Amino acid sequence: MKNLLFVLSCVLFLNSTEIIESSSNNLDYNTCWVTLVFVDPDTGDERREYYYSNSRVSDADCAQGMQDMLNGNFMMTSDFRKSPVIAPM
Amino acid sequence: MKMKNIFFYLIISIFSLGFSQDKVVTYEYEVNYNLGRPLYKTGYLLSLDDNVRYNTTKTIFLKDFKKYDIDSETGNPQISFLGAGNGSENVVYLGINDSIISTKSLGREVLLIKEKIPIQIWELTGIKKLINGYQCVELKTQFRGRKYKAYVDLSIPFRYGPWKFNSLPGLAIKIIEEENKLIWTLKAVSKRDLDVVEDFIFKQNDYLSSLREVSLKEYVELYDNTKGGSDVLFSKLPREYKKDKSSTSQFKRGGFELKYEWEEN
Repeated sequence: MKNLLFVLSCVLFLNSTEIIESSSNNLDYNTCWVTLVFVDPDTGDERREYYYSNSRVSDADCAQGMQDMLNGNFMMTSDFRKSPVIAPM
Repeated sequence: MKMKNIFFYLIISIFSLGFSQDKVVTYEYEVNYNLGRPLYKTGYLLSLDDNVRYNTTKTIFLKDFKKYDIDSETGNPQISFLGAGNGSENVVYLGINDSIISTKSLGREVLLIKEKIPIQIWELTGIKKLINGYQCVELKTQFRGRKYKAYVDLSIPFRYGPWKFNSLPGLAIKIIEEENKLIWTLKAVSKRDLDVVEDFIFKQNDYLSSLREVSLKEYVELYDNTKGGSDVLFSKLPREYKKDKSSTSQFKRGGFELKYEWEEN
């Protein structure tokens, strides 16, 4: 009985560890960063904003988000949030 | 014989009309700004009928303006938005009521700003320099948060310079911002046909009257509230961004004018 409980707890521990690792990997993988720059045509003065999304599921999805921003389809990019810090390299 | 004489006088009259046509002295400046994205343009300064006019060609960025690029700082994709207008500047001194009107791009709109002529006080530094063949004296001033040096030829009396520079003791040959971010250099002095200049002024007035006019204080308020117009361009971005108040307090003015007279203690 003790052995059975030990095996069960080991299985549960391993499962939970796996789940945590998997979600953490997904977060890293899915963070889609984009820099938006506003340029004043009179002076060339630049203003930068950094945006990120954790909802994008692939590189292609991330690229699509940027394409939507580029085309002004802002309704399709509502998952992007402004980053309070400069985007990571 | 009579016919020949008439023809001769007609030709002479046409030629003399052509040569006696009124001309307007125009000062041509090379304009270089480096406030983020380096650019250049040509500025034209002239005086006609009590008004002094300064206008520039459209902006030419030193590097091609790409909407989609790679952010050189982070390596992430970068999307660039350009504000309204083509970068051409218009400044008109209205001699009659001591005021200036000028254009400024703000977000999706070009505004017409009206203000009293901001008088500048220039001080001689004691330095003399030969610039582009002109014997110049160096003067310095502070204007709206930036420090400038002007190299002026005292033998040519013209108190106005490019952009909003005024109260100069002679023709400005070169004006440099302290950090070399803004430079105006006289390239040529030419005489242009009055009818060509008048045609330009007619079209310019037409353009200026099509713009929304605001006072300088109204403009500054709009500028600050929209973070230099960028909020207007980004206004369709996620709601969270619009609700973000923290960035408003961190906002620092850019462009030419960083601080105004009524803000100075």
